[in-house]
Amino acid sequence: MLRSPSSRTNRLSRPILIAALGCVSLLGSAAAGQLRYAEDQAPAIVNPLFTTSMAETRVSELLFQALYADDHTLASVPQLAESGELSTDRLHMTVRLRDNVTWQDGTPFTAKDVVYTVRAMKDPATASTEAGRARFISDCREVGTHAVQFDFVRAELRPEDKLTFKILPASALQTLPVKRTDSFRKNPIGTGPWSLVKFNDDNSVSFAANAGYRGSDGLDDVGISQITLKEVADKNYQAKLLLYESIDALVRVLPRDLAMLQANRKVELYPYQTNSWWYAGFNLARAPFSDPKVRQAITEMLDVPNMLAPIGTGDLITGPYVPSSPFYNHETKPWPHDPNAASALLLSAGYQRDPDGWYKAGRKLSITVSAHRALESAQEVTINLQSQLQGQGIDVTIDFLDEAAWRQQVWTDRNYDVVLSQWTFDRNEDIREQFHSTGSRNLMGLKDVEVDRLLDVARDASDPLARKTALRATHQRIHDDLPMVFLWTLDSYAALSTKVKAVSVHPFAFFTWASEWQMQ
Amino acid sequence: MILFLTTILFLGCRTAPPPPPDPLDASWIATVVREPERFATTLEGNGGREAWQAFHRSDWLNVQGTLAGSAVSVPEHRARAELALLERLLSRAQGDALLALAQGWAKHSPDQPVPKWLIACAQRVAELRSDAPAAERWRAQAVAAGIVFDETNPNPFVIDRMAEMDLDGVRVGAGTIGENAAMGSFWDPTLPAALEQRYTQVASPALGVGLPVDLFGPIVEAALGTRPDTDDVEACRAFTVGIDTRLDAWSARLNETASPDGKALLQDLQLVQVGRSRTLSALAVDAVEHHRNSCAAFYAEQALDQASSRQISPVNTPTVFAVLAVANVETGHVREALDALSPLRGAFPESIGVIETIGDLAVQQGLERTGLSREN
Amino acid sequence: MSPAAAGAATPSARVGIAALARNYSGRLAGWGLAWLGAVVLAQVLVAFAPGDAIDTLPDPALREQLSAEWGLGTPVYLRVFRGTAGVLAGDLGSSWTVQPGAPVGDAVVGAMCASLPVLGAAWALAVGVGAAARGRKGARIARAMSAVPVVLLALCVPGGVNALAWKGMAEGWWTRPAFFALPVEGGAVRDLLLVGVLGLGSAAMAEVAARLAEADARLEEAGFLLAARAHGADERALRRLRWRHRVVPLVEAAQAVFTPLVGGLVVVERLFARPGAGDLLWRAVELRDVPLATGVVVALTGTTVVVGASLDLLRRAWDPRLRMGA
Repeated sequence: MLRSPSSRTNRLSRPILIAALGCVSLLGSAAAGQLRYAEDQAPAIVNPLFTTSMAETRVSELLFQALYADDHTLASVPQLAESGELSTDRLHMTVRLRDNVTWQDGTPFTAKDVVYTVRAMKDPATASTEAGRARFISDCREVGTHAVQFDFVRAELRPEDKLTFKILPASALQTLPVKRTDSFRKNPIGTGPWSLVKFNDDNSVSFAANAGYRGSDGLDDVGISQITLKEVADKNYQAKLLLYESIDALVRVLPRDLAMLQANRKVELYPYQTNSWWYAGFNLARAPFSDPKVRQAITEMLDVPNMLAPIGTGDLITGPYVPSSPFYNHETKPWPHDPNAASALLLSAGYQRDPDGWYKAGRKLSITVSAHRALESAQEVTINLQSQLQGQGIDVTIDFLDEAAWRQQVWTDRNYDVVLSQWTFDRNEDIREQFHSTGSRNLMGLKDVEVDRLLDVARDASDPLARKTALRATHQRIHDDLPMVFLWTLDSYAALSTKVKAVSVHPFAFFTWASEWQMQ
Repeated sequence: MILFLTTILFLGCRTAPPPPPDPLDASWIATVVREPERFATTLEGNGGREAWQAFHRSDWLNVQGTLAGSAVSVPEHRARAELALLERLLSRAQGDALLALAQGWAKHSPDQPVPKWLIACAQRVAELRSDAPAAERWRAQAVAAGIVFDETNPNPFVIDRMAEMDLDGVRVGAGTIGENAAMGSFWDPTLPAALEQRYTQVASPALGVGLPVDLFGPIVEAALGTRPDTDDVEACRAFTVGIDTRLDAWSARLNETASPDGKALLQDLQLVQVGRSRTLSALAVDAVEHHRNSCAAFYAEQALDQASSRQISPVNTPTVFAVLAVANVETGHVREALDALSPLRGAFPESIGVIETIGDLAVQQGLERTGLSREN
Repeated sequence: MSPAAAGAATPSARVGIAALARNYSGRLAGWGLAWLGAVVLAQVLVAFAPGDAIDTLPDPALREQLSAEWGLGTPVYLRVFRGTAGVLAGDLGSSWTVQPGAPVGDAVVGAMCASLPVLGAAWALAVGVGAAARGRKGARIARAMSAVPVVLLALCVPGGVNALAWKGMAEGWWTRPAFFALPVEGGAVRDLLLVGVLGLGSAAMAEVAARLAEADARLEEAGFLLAARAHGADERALRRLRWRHRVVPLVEAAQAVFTPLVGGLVVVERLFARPGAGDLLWRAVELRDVPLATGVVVALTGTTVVVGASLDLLRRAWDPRLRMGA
């Protein structure tokens, strides 16, 4: 029986289709030795003097080096420095530099570069975001081609812990002050293991191994020949891309993606030691939040475990430290979830309960909660918070703000009722700027003489037990003052493809030890 | 022609030889899934369901009952053995941290004299570790500091007063703080070692073989292949990947052929996850006891359920957290060691002393540093 | 035709062209004013959005220096005036925060080159499909298709394509296709999807179909089709006649739907993570980069004006009644 043309066509169409798709199938995954990682936003400027985002910090880690850097135990070890000698009065330090280092353009690295960098950081006209890191240096000068002398404002016990800012090439930048718009930002030159190749049209950035790189440990070869930064604005999508093998590294995993990534045998999770916690902060300068009874009432209306449950696993906290911190005061009891007691507090604060809410002097108690749009899972948390408080008769409006509006409204104008936000600290967990009355990051406006005293004692303590005791007392005191409702700390992980070997991840800068990584 | 074709057909239709038996089929997981009745009988006949349930969820303190009991069941014995191991690891972590704290004092706090209790504790820990030269150095310092144990200042260390003490009460009540007129109060670094000794005394050395001994334990070693014996994390990773690949395939086959009761047990008790975790935990313990700390930390991290890594559970045993703590302290990751111990704080009051000592070390290492912070 | 008759035709044609020019110059002026208004409005809106460009930088020490450099301390009306004057003089300045120091002109030209093909293709698709869907039934179908918001489509389509590709890889139908892992992996497939979502998912297609359906209804009511049939015109001739009368409503519809497509472009470029003028405008507004935002608005509204003016001219050239100002 002759087959009809249509059935012949049908029989042929499937293999043709598959063959056609096979022709279309190009390998979308990486070439060997290439690492691709995702960032929410590609860096606008690649110049360590003007770092404004964590993405830029991580890129700086790939391209630049410092006099000293963290080793795997987070102790400071020489990187561009060869050795350092501290004077007996601890006011001066002579640092000998390595003489086998060159910039990516072949120019030798010398003391001139160090001196230039310090002067650029300290020059007010540069307006460097890193200026604060050089504040402890009063002067810096060359004492040889490969030696620099630092003079300090105060006696420093371990100045190498502070000489961790990135060094820039004097020959490439040449003049002072340095401008943000200098072309260096698009053609940076460093001494690090990688160099920037180009900014691509699709907002990705390509890096290649620096042939002239000289490791401080004597290891000059890096195991990854190319790195690509891919911009993926949607955080929810980044984990999927790791599963799809479109990227090889995810700097931070959302808590809800943990189970999915853990189950995948091609992905490995690396826990971060980060000290970060969420809070709902009150504007202490604004009524009615200046009244401690009102703050306590609002706090006792909240069922915090219920707010945490939908967004991931973590620990509830009672103060400004994570529970594993040596400064966490485990004797501090959390504020109870007690709506009846909360109602009693509001009554004692002069409020009356009407069918539609709480009133005082004719004004209804209502709150605007401001949250940063970039805060992961903020939407779920604020909706939960809103429904809990509205169930208790308090009107809640949510206001999501982008970066500019957040800075303006919350930080500059202090125009907010309650903010939902998160602080992340490095291993030193220094909360002074957040809670001392003179602190530059004291957003809530806390002014407690006792807290100030305890923070001063902790800062000046040379006995670890004395510091621990002072900061635990601070924890209790701040808890009692209630400038903010301390919410929780979340588990934090990085995720990398199993093709990446010998991985260790720096908790703050991520790529500090990337020169040791190997790509299968 | 027909004969030829028939011969070909005959040869082609012969059944293939059966595949060699998978060593995993001899594991306790396979036994439980394939013989649910035998599993039930084992539970009832060896200590009872409750004891085994507590053992399964790593709640070892509630398996053991009383230490002085003479008729002790298999799960209780096994729990005590686990507890002895746990205390040994905690003792090691606390001792390491305390010695590092004492040795680093002059460097980090040159303006402060070394506290008397720290000198005395360092000396006692060195003695316990049979490190005679170090013990002698610390003894000389103790003498110079005027620390003398006599009738007026009795020896505060619990390990030296074990015979007269109810360790359960001490552990639960205080976590223990030693007290001595000359030294003030301090976290006694000998408490975990004292508890280890007590648990070792009451754990039976010879439990025999069989399902009660293997149940909820590591998977049979013959099934896993040769483990790496160097401190090479990549080799350990490759070994772990091999284990996981085999387990994934084998558990899928097991699930397909299991009866409804077997499937229910497999899922409800997370048998494969528990077996995997206990296996990796055993590998981690072996590595840390041979001072292969990088591998120990790796195996311990792999053993944890990352989706709920802060809780003790059937998958997250206290041992895993303790191994992580030891490995992190000994590789200088002191702050990470505190993260690892945090889940033990509630269930094991003696861990509070360990946590406090390691915490003191972390604070000491950060004394001269200023901190960075960022929003979000 | 006799020479006298031919000569008699010329004055009326001259009058038609003169009327067209007179009418059109007024329209052109209107377009120009609308463009200028958009440029001013864009600057005003960004200036009054909460926060300034300086607020996207973390260090308060920068505030004074950059405020002076960017003129953020001056009154808004003065900033807008200077900005608009700069645009009219051809100086778009340089970017503040998105690509610090980069000339706005270069950034905008690059972005427009990336976006215009996509925008044009989506527009052509919307108009073409809308025209094909004319008729009451077609218009209803087009409206139903356009009911799904563009945003949802832009979110779901890449996910759906990825899921299919993932399944195909798992089943062994193909190795990793180049279009996989949208929208990060770019290329022709992503662009085609973007064009499809924008062209078919926006209300443009429904608008075109509805307008043509309306025009057809008016055409039937006008009665001259009946007259043409009565005079012996065949179906082919009647079809030609219908299409001749559809050109103007089609051009009007195309003109009307272009501007909303530009708005849709901003959304889909952002959701498809495709660099272009829409994505650049989004970033510029997010980071309060006033020169860059103004530059993109100049380019996009300028394109709208050119397209609108051109279609207007085409419409008038086609329909003599419009030339006469009717």
